[in-house]
Amino acid sequence: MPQSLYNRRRDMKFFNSINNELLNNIIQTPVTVYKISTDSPENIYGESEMKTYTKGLQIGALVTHDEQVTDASEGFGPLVDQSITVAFHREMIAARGFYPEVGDIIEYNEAYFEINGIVENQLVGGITHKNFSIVCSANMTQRDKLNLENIRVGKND
Amino acid sequence: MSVFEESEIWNDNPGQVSGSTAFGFYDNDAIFTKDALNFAKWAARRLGYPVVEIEMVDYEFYECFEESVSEFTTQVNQFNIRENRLAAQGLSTDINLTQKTVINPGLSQVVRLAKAYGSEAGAGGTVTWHSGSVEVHPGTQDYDLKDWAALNVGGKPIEIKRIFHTGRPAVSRYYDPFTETGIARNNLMNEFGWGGWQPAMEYVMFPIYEDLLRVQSVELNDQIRRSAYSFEIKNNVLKLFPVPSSTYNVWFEYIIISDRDAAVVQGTTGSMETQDASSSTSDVQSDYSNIQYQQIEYSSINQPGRFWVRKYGLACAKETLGNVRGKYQQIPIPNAEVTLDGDTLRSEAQQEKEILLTQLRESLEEASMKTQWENKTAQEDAMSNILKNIPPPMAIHIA
Repeated sequence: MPQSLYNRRRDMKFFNSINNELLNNIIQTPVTVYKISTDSPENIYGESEMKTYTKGLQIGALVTHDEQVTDASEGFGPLVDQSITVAFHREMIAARGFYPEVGDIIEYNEAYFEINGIVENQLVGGITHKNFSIVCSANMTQRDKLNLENIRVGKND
Repeated sequence: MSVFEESEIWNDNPGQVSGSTAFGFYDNDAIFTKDALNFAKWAARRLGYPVVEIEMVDYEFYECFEESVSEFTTQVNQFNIRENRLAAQGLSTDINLTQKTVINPGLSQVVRLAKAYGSEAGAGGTVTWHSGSVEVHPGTQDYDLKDWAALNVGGKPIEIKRIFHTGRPAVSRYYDPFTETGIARNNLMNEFGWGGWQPAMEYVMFPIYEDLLRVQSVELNDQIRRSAYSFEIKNNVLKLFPVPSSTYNVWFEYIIISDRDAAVVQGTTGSMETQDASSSTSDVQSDYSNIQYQQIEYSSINQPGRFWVRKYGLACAKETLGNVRGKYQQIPIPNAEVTLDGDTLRSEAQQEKEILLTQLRESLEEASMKTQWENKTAQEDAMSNILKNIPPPMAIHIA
């Protein structure tokens, strides 16, 4: 199939340069992504009773977020929720060797968000094999469920 | 794991200049190659590096620098061609005028131009005047020169320049008592009040205008009182006055009109030749296209010139960066698009280039010979006015 006149490899490299500068030097909103580990211990039914995650990977992304919402109606203390959208540059994260999936955890603004949806529909020039971004929607999750950090420590420990 | 590919961009570590530009005009100029490196670093910083990335590579900066030197050279040479065109026309193309002072104001070309007038005046020129004659017969006053031309010059259109149909020269009838002007010597003696006085020996000194007045008198007398020799040509027919009373030849001079119309060009030997323009050769400097002003060596350009080159080069670099950033109106970023400043850069660059060119052209015009003479005249006039108000020195004599 003949190449299009626009958006050729040289142009894509140019876009990469601009994005690299924009995401990593100008905007600088890095997020840390924790992928679910497939090495989690399983019970006799082959189910994982406790999720574990791989070591976090920090990468630049464009993040948009809703306001935090606090719900105190449950009677077990206030529950804070927030939705965010994290847009990754596809080639940039591919070069880092990972691909976000539903269930992965994103650490942003000192909170953890679980990816609950992925959209990959930004086609440069409408060309299907030039899918430019991976846009993840995520919701804030409780940090004590994740086992990513030890939260049961106090000053005397 | 795939590789994240990016465009080559400026890294503040420029490579070799020589061989990097498209034309390589100044590859052998060590000062150019050194300044091109410095220019690249300076221009990148003026465009925002290292705070922002500059999507250009080293040889693009070198190209801008080379183009800027060439633009400077072109402007200076164009001015010099205008200034020295008359002096240069006719010189051998082997003579390079670049950065040379043209001392001779070039009258040779003026003289060549004057030859066209000489041709018409019958005093030199480049068109041959031919001679011809018609035999006139008693009682026949009209003679068709078109018939003559058909017979003698193959019917080519001719133009009569001169007809030799006159009476005897007035000066030869100076003492002719029948000229009705009196006898010259007697006239003068009478006017002096010495009429009839006949000394043994006379010595009369005539002023030259006496001769001229008398000649005019003879000719005017012939014209008014006699049927003087004259002619007219109407519709190629020569009519002679008076009606010929004998057979003789009337001679005339003429040109073949196509000789005049032929393009007069300068040939290979530098001599004027009449030939078709299509067959002209070009080993002499003739016009704007081959007057020998060539590339100016960068190292011979002075400080103001080099500063102009840097400024113009920066505008070129800005234009190049604008072209890079302006190919796409919108650049994709994850889940959005961003607009770059390509249009702004190009617009600014064009304005800066225009301003720099205008400044350079005005500076050159200020340096023209015409302006210098005008300034010199104004200066001398002003000095004269000042000096007029200073009292003259007083002589002090000490006894």
